[in-house]
Amino acid sequence: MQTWTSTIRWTWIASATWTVICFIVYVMLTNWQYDAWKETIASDFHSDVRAAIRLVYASHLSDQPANSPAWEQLQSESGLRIVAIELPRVMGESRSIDAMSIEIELKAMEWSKVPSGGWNLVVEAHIDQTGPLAGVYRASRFVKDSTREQNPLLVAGGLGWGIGLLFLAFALLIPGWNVDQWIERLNRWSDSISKVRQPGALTLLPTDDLTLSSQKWMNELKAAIEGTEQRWGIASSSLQQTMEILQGMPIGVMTLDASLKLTFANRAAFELLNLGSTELQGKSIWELVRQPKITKVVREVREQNEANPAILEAEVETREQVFLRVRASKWHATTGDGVILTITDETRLQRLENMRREFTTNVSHELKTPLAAIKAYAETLLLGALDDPVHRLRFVERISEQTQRLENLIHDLLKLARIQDSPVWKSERIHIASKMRNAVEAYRAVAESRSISLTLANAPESAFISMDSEALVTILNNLISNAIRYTSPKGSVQVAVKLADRAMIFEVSDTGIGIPQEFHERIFERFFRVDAARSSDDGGTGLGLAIVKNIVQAIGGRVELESSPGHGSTFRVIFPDTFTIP
Amino acid sequence: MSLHLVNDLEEAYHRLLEVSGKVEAMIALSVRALVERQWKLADEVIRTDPEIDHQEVRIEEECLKMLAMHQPVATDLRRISTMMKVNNDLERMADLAVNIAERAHSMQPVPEFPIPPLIKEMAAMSSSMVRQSLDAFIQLDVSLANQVITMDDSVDAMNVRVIDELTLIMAQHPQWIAAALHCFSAARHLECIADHATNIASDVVYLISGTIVRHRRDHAAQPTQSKPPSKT
Repeated sequence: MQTWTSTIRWTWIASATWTVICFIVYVMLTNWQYDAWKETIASDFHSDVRAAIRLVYASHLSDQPANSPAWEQLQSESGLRIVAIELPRVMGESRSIDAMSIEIELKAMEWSKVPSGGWNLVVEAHIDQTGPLAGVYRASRFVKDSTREQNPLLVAGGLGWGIGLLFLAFALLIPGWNVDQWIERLNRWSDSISKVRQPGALTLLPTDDLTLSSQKWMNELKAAIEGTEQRWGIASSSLQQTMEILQGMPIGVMTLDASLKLTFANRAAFELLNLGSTELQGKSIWELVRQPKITKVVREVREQNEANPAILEAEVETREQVFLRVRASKWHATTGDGVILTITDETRLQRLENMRREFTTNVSHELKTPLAAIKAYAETLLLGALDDPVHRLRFVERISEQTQRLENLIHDLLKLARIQDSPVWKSERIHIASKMRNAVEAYRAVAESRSISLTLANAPESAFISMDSEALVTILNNLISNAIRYTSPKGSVQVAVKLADRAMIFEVSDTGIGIPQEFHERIFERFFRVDAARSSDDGGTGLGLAIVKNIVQAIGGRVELESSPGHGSTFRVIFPDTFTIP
Repeated sequence: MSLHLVNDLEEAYHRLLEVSGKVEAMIALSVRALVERQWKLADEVIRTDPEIDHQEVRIEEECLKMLAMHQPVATDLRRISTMMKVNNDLERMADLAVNIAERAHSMQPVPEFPIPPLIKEMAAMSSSMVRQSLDAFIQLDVSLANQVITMDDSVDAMNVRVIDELTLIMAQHPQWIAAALHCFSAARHLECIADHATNIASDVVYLISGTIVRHRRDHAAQPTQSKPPSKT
């Protein structure tokens, strides 16, 4: 059967080739034969026209009207239609004409296809233009196509072509190559190819002997398709995973094409750069981000020509006061060199750095101020004030005050450092009323010296708290001393303890200068003073409230402030019910 | 639109956006220098101004070159003329930011002078108007532009209140008259910045609808049948 199939195949190929060759030869011969026929017709036409013209002159036909019997006879015998366009000047029997000697010039012949079939040949005959016989005639003849003669070679070519077609039909009609089956197979193959992306959808072709080779081809195709599907699945899954990672990253990632237009931005980039939610694909970096530092670094990266281009950075503070670090690097994409941006939020780092810088500055200032005073007084004493009984005592007292101030400052700094180092807090059973009374009594003298009324408004005798005793004393001392410091003479400071939903609330209220709302958060920062110009000679270190807040937060409580300028302040320290002892 | 015109427009447009970012940053820094009394920020603003002036001239030259070489019509012509106007407004805003920075410097010797909180509010609103007008220019958003135009009245009203407050301070504290006058200047400059933002918004309305809405009492433009120009 293999041999039979092969024979059929070769027969088909041979007959198709023979058919094509015969057809080409037939067409060439036909054209050659037709050209030869046209040449013969044209030559005969010219000869007939010349003869007819000479006869016209010899018979003096030009003297007779065009519809005369003589004209009709001439045209009938020659097969031509002759029309005089320009008659000779000399007319009549007096002319002596040698028709054979006249010169006849034939202009270019025209072939006009007649719709009903055939050709109309037309030519103009110019006669003896220099003499008295000068005239112009138009001659025409109708020629049928069917006058073409058959050429034996054409017959042979046609026969060969016909035989080739017969063999072709014979090859197509053999069982197994039946046209219907052929069409059916084509349909099946096209269905199989259209089902490429559905695994297992490929159907096997009939297993009859004639389709074994196509079956093998289909199996190979199916294997290739399944392999491609598998690789596609792996790539798709990998891409999906990469996209999920990119979208979940806290670092912003943006890619720009060669024209610096956006091709990709992850969720973090949208949030950090506040890009909004409108469609942004294809927008240029200048339209997306109006941050000069970012656009500058992007432009510079793109213009780099080095083999290993550097990664450039920019630090940006947005209008929302978010600090960003933007890194730009060149990206060699298939469509041209683009730029990749990574954006990280360094607000917290920046704020910590600012706080560190501010703290260092403040500590230096707070230390330098008393030291400068001590140095000044000491130098004055050495320069002669020691011998001045009036001033030397005062100077020494000032030195002692400043030294005490330095000591307090260093003490508070160390205390703050210890609190921030997460110390181990003790848990002691404390009688609230006693502790409050002690704290108030400790500051009564200071209050009275400033004509300030200091009272313990409320302290339940039955209330106990479980916490570090030293921490509670520090909290109360700092709040009370602060209240006294910022209250004018004749004012009052009130200390109270309240129980609310088993939480314990320590309140220190004063009738002092009050604190504007915008400073309620900042008042707990180290060395912060609402009135920057206010002298720190009032004895404060600027750390009291910072210490209170740090201690309270470290042991699980919170601090609240209620205050407004001119209406005094109330500081509340709240400990949740876990601290209270029933 | 020929390819050359497209490329030239895009280049000038990107340059303008870059300048707009710098001007926004200058305004923000000058306001912080004034309100938060950060003098170094004022220096940074003053240092940036020459570059803005240089870019303004360059952008204008590029626009004039486009007009001469390409003879654009219709939306392209509107776009280029709008860019020239926005360019001019941005340069004026940069100058005003420098003026505010200089006022901040002048108030340095009087740190105890209480700057009216309304100044901060006015600065925030002016900055917001600048930002929104530029957003409207980029996004070709008429409704956003109209919003900016209507905000100008609020800024003008705030300016009047600031003047009243400063007048009271000067009456009650003669030692602060000089500082109050500097503050008053700064408030005026903020009001001018808001006016320029309004101009930009009006230019955006013109760009999109072909309607000039400047100097109109009803301010906001109505939606028109005109098709907005396509992005470069």
